Amino acid sequence: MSSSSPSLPSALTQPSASQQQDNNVVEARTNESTLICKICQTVVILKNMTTEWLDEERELPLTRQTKGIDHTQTELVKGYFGVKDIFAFENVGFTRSADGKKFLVCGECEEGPVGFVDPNTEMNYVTPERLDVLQTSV
Amino acid sequence: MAKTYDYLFKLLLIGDSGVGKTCVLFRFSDDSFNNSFISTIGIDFKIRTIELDGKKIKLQIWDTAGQERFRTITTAYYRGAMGIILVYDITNERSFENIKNWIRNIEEHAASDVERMIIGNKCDIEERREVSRERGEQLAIEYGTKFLETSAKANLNIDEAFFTLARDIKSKMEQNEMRAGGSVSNTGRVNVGGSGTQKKSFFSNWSCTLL
Repeated sequence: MSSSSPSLPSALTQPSASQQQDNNVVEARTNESTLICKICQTVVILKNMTTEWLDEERELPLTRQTKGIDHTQTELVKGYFGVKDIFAFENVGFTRSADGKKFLVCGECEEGPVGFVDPNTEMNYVTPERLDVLQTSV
Repeated sequence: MAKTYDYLFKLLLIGDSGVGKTCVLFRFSDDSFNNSFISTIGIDFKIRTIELDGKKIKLQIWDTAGQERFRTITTAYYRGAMGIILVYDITNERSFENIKNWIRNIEEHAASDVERMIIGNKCDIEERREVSRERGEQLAIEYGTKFLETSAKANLNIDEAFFTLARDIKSKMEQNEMRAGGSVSNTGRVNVGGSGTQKKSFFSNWSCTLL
């Protein structure tokens, strides 16, 4: 019992610690493509404007809420491009605060949320999951 | 990061609540859904990017979204504003009457040279119109502002007003730069906040009003 146990705990703690780090990945990365609104095709942000990639799941309200439900319906959306400067965006809207959260929407048709503002860092995040990539005609 | 634009203009949308300052933007109207999440919580401000004469202009547009009354809006709110769009609802007589109060409020609290524009918005149907186009035009003449009627349904949205206002602000700035004796030091300047510029243009304007 005493002979086999010493190696076991260290082998277990090692992977679990790195797993935790994986859940909070923020890496320096810019958006390789111009991102546009899925609905009206307005450019939300030009390519190479963001400074980081947040590889995390965050809860975003559904764009359209089902009638007769008294709470905000949300879903988990993973992966966001982040930028501090609000003027990095071409066309974007910032919502008022709802339960301490502010969201980003298309600056033209207000489709969204397409992202959120981190209240602590004031970083602005948009997700490619709720935007389209501008297809450049070559 | 290097600035990727030439000018930054701060614009305000003001007017009574319910005049549809935000309603000019089209939204999906699907019977099985309530108003979208966004229209429920409301937009604080927008960044729009336009191009005028080869210059890239960022507009930061603040919408008071009707929570306010003109009595409660004071200098702090107008600070740095370079253009103000006054909006009334053509189906709401009272919102039209209140434009005069809003203008008085602007004259009291905003920079004296702020560009202004009056918008008659018709989110609703034409049959419910209470304010004729002529009356809107007359009011604009009275206050020396431009006038537009906008309609979300006809896609004549408020963007046109933004363009017009931005164009006016830009040409005023360029004129002021020229009067200041060559625009060498001012080219490509980014006017964050804009209040410093407004002070300068205030004097430049007066100096040649009668020329």
